[in-house]
Amino acid sequence: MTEALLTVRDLWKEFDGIQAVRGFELDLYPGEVVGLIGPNGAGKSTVVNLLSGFHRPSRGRITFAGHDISQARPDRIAQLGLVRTFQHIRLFSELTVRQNVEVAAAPRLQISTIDVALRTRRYRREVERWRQEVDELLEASGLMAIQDRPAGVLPYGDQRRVEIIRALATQPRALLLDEPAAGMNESEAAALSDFLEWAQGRYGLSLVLIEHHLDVVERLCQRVIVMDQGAIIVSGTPEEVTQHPEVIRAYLGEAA
Amino acid sequence: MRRWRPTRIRPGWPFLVLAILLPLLVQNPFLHRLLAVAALEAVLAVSLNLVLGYGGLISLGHAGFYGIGAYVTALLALHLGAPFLVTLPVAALAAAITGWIFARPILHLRGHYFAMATLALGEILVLVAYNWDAVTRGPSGLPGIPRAELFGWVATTHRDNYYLGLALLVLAIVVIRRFVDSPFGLSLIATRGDDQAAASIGTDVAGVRTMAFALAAFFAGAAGALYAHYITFVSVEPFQLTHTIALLAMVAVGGIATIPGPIVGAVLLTLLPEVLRGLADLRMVLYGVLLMLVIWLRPQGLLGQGRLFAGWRGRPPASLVPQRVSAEPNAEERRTQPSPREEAGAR
Ligand SMILES: Nc1ncnc2c1ncn2[C@@H]1O[C@H](COP(=O)(O)OP(=O)(O)OP(=O)(O)O)[C@@H](O)[C@H]1O
Ligand SMILES: [Mg+2]
Repeated sequence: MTEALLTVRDLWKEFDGIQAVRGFELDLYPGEVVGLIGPNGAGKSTVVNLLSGFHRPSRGRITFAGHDISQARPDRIAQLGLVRTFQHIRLFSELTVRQNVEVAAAPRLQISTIDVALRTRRYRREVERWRQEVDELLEASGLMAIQDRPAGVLPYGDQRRVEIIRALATQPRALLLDEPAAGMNESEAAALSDFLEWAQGRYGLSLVLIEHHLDVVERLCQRVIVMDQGAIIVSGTPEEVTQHPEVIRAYLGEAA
Repeated sequence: MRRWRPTRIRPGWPFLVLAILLPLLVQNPFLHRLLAVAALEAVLAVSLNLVLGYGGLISLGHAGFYGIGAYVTALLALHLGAPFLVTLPVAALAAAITGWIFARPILHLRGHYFAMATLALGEILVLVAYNWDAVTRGPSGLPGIPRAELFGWVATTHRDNYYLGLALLVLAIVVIRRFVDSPFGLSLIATRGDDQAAASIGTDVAGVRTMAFALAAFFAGAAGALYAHYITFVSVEPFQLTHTIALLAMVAVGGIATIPGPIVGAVLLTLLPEVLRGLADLRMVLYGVLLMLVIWLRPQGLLGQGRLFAGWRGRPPASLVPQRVSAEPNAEERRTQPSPREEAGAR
């Protein structure tokens, strides 16, 4: 068996008195898609915030691609290839779609301030590569047609897609998607599933997918983890999990 | 919603030609002196704008870097007899390095706290210059700095010094525009919009801000070197907070986050008090009223496109706060909205 890309052991997070995450565990293998579901306030977003370095764990260990990232900064974690999106979309709304994607592809460029000031050969080569990379991604994802539109004025579904493409532009190995289909109707959510399936296959990504749309989860995920009140209550295949009495009570009972 | 355009400025050549010809056509030493001052002010405003306009960081210590450049130049020239071609780059680097070292620990501070830290830096620099008698000669300052000399040519007149300032201004514009138009500049602008989102995709937020801060300090330091050689005397006065405030006004009046804006602002605000001189006591009142009129009627500045400046009138500038979804969220979206503290980040 291959080694897990992301391992999480005994992860805890306390916010002044509230145990938001209690002993979370995860092994995410390369190319695997894991769903993370649970009622509002279960601690799902907090897990994403912990894994992406936006919160410091109270306890526990997070390892990604051989690096201990329990205390790492968000930008460093993203550069290692573990990239998150936000439950509430956070695009650079005054920048165009293309520029949003360009920002994400910029940290990998091998240039210095001197290169920028002197417009050296290396600078021109790197920028050319940068533009091409972004072109390819926009082309492949179908965003080329709207590349020059300010991201902030796009319809909601497009903003979601731009956010995911922006994350992809970092060339991640794993994505943490926090409710990418939130606020979408059934058909929009289905279109997003297609899109995620395409992206996941094309780039061979591992995904952690937080989602309230169970059809999206059932379609994409090999494995589902159910959280409630900070703890994992069940994990297994989508079929197993949705059948589980505790899930029906704690999650479906409330959401449906 | 404002859309960020890469600085597609109209070619500056005609303006450069005009700037070169003007003091030749108008042989008025008084005008030459104003132009020489305006050129240095423009360098300061353009460099401050990199941090303020493109970086969205309010820096209240910019005049301090100007001072570092001036004092380093004075000390090098007076004690070591260093020529202009040495003092200029050393002064610029000294300011840049100070900016670099100083920026690192404070860049995680947000909004007003960052502004206060830079304010403190500026004040500390002034206090050091004021009290370190042995080196800076405190309040009496350092007189007798030699004029700038370039390959045997000595910048003696106001006009000579104006041309040096103009050359530095052109260099500052070229370098800063290249920076802004580069991937670094784009990243900087992104961090202005939402630094956490930028970090989430791997942008080294502190790194790119430090770079901008140090680059701005570099040009402020270089301007300080020209100042020292031009006036031939340095003391703390020009490096205090009041000067930084004047620079902020220049950037704001001309147009924040644009390349030509701060230059226009610097020229206007340098000339205006002189034009109004005949009005004696009313002068500063009128100056203030004109400033307020611009801010009121054109909050984005004379050449600005957006409404960045709006924030200074109470509301945070649109581009300085994470933008929320503008498309109408449906009911379900509202149900699943996170509490504001979600994603706010713990740090
Ligand atoms: N920054 C914070 N400070 C204090 N408490 C927090 C913070 N972030 C989350 N919490 C609390 O932690 C708990 C888990 O919240 P979290 O946002 O992780 O839930 P969730 O599973 O993502 O819910 P939802 O489905 O509503 O997005 C909640 O009780 C929440 O109020
Ligand atoms: Mg959540």
